[in-house]
Amino acid sequence: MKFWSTLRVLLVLALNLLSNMQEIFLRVISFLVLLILGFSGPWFLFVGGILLYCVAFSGIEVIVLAASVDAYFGFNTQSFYYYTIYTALLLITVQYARPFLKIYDN
Amino acid sequence: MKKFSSITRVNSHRISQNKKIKRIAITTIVCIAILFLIPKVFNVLVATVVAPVNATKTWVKESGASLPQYFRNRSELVDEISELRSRLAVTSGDHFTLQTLAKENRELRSLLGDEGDERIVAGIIGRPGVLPYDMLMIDQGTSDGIYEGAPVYIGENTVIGIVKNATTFSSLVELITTSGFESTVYIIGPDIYTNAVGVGGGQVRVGVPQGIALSEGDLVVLPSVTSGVYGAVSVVQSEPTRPEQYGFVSPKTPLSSIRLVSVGRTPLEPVSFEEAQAVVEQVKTDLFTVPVPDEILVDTTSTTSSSTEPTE
Repeated sequence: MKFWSTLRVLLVLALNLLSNMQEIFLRVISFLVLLILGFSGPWFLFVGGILLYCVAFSGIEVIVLAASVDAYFGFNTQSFYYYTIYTALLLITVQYARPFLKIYDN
Repeated sequence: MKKFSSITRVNSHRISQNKKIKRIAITTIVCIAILFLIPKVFNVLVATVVAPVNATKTWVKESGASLPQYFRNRSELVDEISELRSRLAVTSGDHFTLQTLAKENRELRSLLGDEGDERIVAGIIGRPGVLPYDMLMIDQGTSDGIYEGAPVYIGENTVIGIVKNATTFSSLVELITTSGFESTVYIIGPDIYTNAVGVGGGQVRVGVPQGIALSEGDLVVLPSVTSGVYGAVSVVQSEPTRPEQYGFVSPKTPLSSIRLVSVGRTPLEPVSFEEAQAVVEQVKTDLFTVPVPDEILVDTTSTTSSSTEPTE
């Protein structure tokens, strides 16, 4: 009896881990796609990707990516922090809007 | 009890939300501080991380290997093949091939600046409209001898921008048309010097007072970069209620059709007004005069000399 209950707990833990791993995997893949789009893709796809990423994961790492794009492409220019600021504003907006969006989840 | 629990949940959610917003703000401030304080370090770091991405991009876009060629736009290649076939059918001979080769040779020679300073030919791997900034990305970097501040040419002597950032295998070129880029131009037609400002998307804007006869097709010279004709006024925006009118200048060759550029090995030097004037005069002379043999040319000087001949 104890064996079965332990197995059940382990199974539930494994399933939880798997579901978390799936999310982590999806997040990592999305971030890598965004990274490639940022440095070699069309800018409109990159901007669209940032928007989706912010809504889906609202991860802070996207600010670092935007800052990297600014540092690489905007180096030595006057406006080399645009993407960082816009991404931060977008993330903050998503954070404020999240509770309202969650109403539909309920 | 239920009410208390829901209030607690809302409060805890608000606290975590505020925490996250604080984290976002701190990360942003840190990133911007790094961008301002040590931009070069951040840039080099990012360039190192991005180097494999750029190397792959260059390989896919420029390499002659079979795999990247396969990945390239097939329809474009098919169109090119059919066009070449039809051309070959029309000319049907080696003459055309020779002419094409000679033309290509001339283009490459002019790109390399055969009559002036030595240059480096570079392929374009990123254009405005695709890159996040209004810049041009080329496949040559510091390892090929490119350095920041070097002028970038199309054709023989038309400067289109300046290398703003050079990494080991690629470089970024700030275009004359990049938003906010200011340059002095001379407009042939109204014959005036004025300032031009880049507006992005391959366009430069010149602003002149209403009284000046600015019209579409007027040629524009950039004397500051000792180039030839940069382009022509494509659109004039003039409203009688406003004291100024604007002309939008496009380069002679559209950016979308450029495949190769050349990068100078000597930096641009400041040009005085006298030098700029000499450049403008030279361009005007080159544009409007044709070397006609003396025996064919009928001119007042030749007429005078011929009419005075018998008296001598």
